Amino acid sequence: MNAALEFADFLQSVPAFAEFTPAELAVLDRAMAVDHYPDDHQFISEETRGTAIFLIVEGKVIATHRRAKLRGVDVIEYLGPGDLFGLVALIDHRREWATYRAMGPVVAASLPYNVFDLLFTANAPIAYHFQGLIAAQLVHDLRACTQTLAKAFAQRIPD
Amino acid sequence: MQHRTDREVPTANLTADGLQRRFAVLLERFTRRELQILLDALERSDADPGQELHRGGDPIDTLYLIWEGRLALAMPVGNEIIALGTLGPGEFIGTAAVIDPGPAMVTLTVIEPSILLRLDRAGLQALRKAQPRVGGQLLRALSLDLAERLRLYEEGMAERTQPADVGEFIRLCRPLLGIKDISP
Repeated sequence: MNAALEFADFLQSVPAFAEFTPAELAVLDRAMAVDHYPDDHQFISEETRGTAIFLIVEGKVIATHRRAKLRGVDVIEYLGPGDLFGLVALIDHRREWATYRAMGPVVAASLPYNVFDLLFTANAPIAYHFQGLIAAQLVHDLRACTQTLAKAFAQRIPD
Repeated sequence: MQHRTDREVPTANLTADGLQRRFAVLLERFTRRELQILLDALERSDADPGQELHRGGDPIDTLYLIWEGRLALAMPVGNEIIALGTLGPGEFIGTAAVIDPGPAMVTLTVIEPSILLRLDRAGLQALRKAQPRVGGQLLRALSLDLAERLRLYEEGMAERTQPADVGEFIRLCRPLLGIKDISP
């Protein structure tokens, strides 16, 4: 992918961005930096406070959480094109919630936390639209956790 | 799903200030004017004990703020129905549903006479269109709540492989559903 040329087209193709106006998409196109990342690249570590959220353009990212004593690292979910991550720390300004790592080569766009906060504080409509995306992704994460938990528990119940 | 709604009932207690006092954490960043706009967007719904607001698996799209009363949550898991706990005044449920409508994870039953303030998906979208700042503030507040739930869940899971029994499942599930009390 020619990242600089095609990111705007990608944004227009993602259903989650459907409510953004062309002008707002143009702002995002300028505000977000598109980069290529190698296999196994660690975007975010749960041990630290990150600095940006990421939007996957191409490739696959695995979200994991370290279980301190019992089984090492646990897979929370797999993310693909159009998915956002790094949102929990953006919202609550604490350390990252999970660790995100590339599964194969990945193209992703990043938006620094401080840029998002600036947009929100400035009462910019684009920030409110983006807030809708963030909320939807957090719901996706929450449902993934609930379903995983329910499935793990159901497997322990004899029929 | 039946709702006994009555927009004409005097709302002497349903003021902007009252709303912020009742839902202090959720609405702490709202100005008085924003609270009034939000209050106008909410629909009052009075519900009686025994009334099911929805069953697990039903398509849902509504956020409920509990002004008065109490609701019970139960989740169908495998062949069992697991009672997860209750929610009362100042608590809310349906965050995921109003943001991204889908099948309900739990059955929601009224167990005390309740006054609920409802906001469905269409109402949220209308609010976001007419009052982008208030809609954005609400989404931000709900996102903060979702983030807190994810953190509480991960903290609960930190030392576990999977829920060992019903009690542990309930303890792990409660934060995901917004039940603040995670004690046994």
